[in-house]
Amino acid sequence: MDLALVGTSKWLREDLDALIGNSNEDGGDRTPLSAYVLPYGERVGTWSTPVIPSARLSEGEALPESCTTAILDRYGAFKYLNDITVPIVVCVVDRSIADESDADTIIEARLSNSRPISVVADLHWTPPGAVEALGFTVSL
Amino acid sequence: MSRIHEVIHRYATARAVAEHGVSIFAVGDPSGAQLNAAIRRTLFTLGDERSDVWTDLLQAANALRWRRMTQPQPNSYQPAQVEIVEAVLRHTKRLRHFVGDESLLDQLAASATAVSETDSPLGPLLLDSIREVGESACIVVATKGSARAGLQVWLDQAGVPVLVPGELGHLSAGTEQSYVIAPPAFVPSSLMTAPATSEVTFVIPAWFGNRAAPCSSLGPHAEGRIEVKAAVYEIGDTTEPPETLPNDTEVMDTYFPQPVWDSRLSADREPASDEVMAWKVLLGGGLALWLDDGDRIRSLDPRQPEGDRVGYTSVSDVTQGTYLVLREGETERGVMYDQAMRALGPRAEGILATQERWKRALQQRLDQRGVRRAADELFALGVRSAGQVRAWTEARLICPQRDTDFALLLEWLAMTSQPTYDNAITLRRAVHKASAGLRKELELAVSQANFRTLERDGILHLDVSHEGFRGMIVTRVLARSPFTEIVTRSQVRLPFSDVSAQWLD
Repeated sequence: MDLALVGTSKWLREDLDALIGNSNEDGGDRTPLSAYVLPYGERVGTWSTPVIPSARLSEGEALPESCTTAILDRYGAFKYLNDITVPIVVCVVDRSIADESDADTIIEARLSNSRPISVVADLHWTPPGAVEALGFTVSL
Repeated sequence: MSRIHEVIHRYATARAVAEHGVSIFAVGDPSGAQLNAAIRRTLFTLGDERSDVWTDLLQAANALRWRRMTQPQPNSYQPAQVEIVEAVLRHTKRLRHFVGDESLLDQLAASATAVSETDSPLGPLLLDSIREVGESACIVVATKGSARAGLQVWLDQAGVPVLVPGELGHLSAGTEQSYVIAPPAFVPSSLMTAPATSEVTFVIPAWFGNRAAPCSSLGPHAEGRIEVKAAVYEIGDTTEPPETLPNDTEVMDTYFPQPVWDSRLSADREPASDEVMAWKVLLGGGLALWLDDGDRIRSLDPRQPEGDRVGYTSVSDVTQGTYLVLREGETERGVMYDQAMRALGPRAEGILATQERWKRALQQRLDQRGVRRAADELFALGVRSAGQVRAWTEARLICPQRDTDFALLLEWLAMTSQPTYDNAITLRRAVHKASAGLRKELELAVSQANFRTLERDGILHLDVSHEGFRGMIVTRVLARSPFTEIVTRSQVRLPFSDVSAQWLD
């Protein structure tokens, strides 16, 4: 178990059902996202990705110790950013939300004791149009 | 549309607006300009050191100006405006006994009267623009729920939906144009950097000078930053009244209705043991609350799906617009604590004893060294939440949120960690369990509540059947004081009546 998804579980599950693939390609395979992520559910084998509702973290639940990467999805999940100590954290900031406290949480983390990394130069990922990306490392 | 399709659509509109920019219609409004000039001249003449006798008048005049900008419907659709104009006139009359130079009062009174006698020219322009684009292809965006309520009554006849920035998620297909009734500076930057429609137009009075389009808060730090350009179109009679101050005059003028906090009343001292530092929080429904820096507080997020709306917000995140779930007459913390103690049965006594012991030891330390030094020492040891050390003496705040903080704290107190540590964790778990039970009850009550009412009134009474939890309310935070006061512990987190939030919403 190395990945955990934290957010509103109803929405995360809906997103995992989405089919991905290139519809322009002839016979392009359309596979549900869940086929790659293998979320924890009733009929899974030994390995799976836990989908943890943010509210659960507020009630004292911690991420599994074997977890190396956590994806925090918007609103509620960032509140626990300071309590999450897995090596890689991906925060998905929804810019369309009228209230910017989510982004402010990230910037606070960026400004306190962190080292910037460039997503383009260091991670070799060019954000697509209308995506703003910010990368940094923090010492624990 | 599935969520994924909505996201794809949102990226397409964001790319379109990032490329083509937004439009600003700056509409001439001579009466509004007269009021704006009178307020700014008054602020400039009185300067930073102005006497408190002006506060009520300026607050009413500012509320009137804010409405003129954000609710440009005809005056026949402005029932609350009459009341504010009356307040302006009443206060100017009262001030004539105190003030030597009455010309400022004359200008304020005359311009308030002029505003009440002429409809805003923004209204007809907005109607024309809507007709040009077609009712089904556009939406109107209001600054917040109270402004939306005012605009919607008027725009119902035009058949156009009026929304607030938080509601732009699910528009019907074919919506191409948003008319935002506020300057870019007074709405979230998301309206420009993640717009719901591929065209965005701001309709503002020409007398408002700041037309800058702000970027997202992540933008300045990010790669792929979005910068939106704004094209300004001046429309109608935009001549400024003769008393207008030159544009570059520096005036402390916020436009946005803000509470007046006066100055701090508490003396500069550390609180006594039955006291605590707390911020004053003004709430919808004519309520207020003292909020101490301790446990997170129960909150509601109406944007979440059913079943996920009730949660917690840390004290530092309680800001304007946060919805708090409160109980009239008693704090939630107290009731949860009592319930947890009951659930622990025979174990409760032992737990209570170790809790009392470490809290007493902490209180003694604080008495010896003072809070500041104690917090510094703890912080040096690695206790991240050391700033909350005073709150931990309180019986009902079980222990620090982070377990390692608690272990370090016990070490600093030179106390053996067991069974004190395990007892506290057991109690905390029991409280979490009790509050998870309450959360289910609240979710159920919230699922039956009407959010439109909450948005319009800023307050909503919940129907909860759970024993000990009758009288729960949801209320919107309107403002939070920039400084803390010293209040007694029994006062904190209990809502009480307070009228200083008048016209803030």
